[in-house]
Amino acid sequence: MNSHPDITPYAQFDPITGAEAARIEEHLEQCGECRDRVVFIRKTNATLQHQGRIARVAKALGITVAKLKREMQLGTSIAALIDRPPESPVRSSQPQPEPIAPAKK
Amino acid sequence: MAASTIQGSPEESWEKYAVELLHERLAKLMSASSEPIRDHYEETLLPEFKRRYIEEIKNYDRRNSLAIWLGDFIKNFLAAKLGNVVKGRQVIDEELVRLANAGFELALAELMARYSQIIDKTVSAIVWKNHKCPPSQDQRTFVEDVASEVKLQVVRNFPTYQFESSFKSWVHSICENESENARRKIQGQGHVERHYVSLEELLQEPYAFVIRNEEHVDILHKIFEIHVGQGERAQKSLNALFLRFFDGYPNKEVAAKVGLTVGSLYQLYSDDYEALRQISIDNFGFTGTDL
Repeated sequence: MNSHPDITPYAQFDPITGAEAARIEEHLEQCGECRDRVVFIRKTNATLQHQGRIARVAKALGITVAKLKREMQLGTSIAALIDRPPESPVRSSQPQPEPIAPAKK
Repeated sequence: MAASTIQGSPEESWEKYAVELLHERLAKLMSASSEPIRDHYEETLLPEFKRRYIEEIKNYDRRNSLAIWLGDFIKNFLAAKLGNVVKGRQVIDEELVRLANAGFELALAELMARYSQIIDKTVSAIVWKNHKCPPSQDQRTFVEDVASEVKLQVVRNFPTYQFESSFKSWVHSICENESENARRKIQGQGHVERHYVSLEELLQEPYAFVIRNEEHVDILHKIFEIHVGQGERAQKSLNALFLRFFDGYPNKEVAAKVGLTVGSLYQLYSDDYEALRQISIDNFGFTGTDL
């Protein structure tokens, strides 16, 4: 017996009807395994999305992903990265650091 | 005693020198083994050594000094008797197992003293490399518990060692098995209740789910690698996931790029997320919540 609905479209934020979303959420309220499935899908997708964005920003700035991540950890803003002279190090004491965060939809 | 100090008739040399020289040579040959082990071999070899000595000394022709003759005799005797069981100045593991099986308890003690640190390091490496420690557990405590269990298993089961592989490999396989058993006891068999996120947490905005722990991100990519190894379909589904989420293409374009209809693409996602999650649980002990 498989009474679990297909939660993938819901987990991926694909378009589903309100009735379908309500039916899934009613099931999710009772089913920890399905909630875990949703979390797995969302973590996978969000992490891939995040890594894709980082890779594109790094490519646009002409630096490696590792270098970009290091700057992000230091709190360097995108503006500071963009304004820096080519091949020069970015000072970690830039004023008002603004960490790169994924844009909200 | 230096062999060059040996003097006197061959008949006198047994009592005066031979036994002591054998003791010295054994101590040097097996210097990395414990004294009780060396004493055991000395005691075991002495009767045959004496018998051979009495036979061979008759052929001593006095062309060389007795000291040189005796030194060569002991060297050849020990090479013949111990050449296969002593390496790197210690008795090899497999020989210690044979001694332990024969009831020589000190051999087992020596074996365990030799393997205690090896087991600790091996278990630590296995747990770390294969992510055997469930997220709910303290990794150091988990490793200590597994290593203790491995040592118990070795002591209990060494009589079942069949000498088909090296003793070290045998111990390594116990380390692997016990690491997995410990993980399953905690996680796989549901002995500890899994913690699931609440529905309210699910309703948060999607980027709250980005995995920030770099080790967990590595695990996610290892999950992808294992999945891809399962065949062409798995490769296609992973390509679709990357096109959709890493590259940001809409589903319609993803479907066109991987040669599917949009409906089939949805089905591919549905099937393969479950496969990915199962790999995560089976291979790394991570549910979606743990990841």
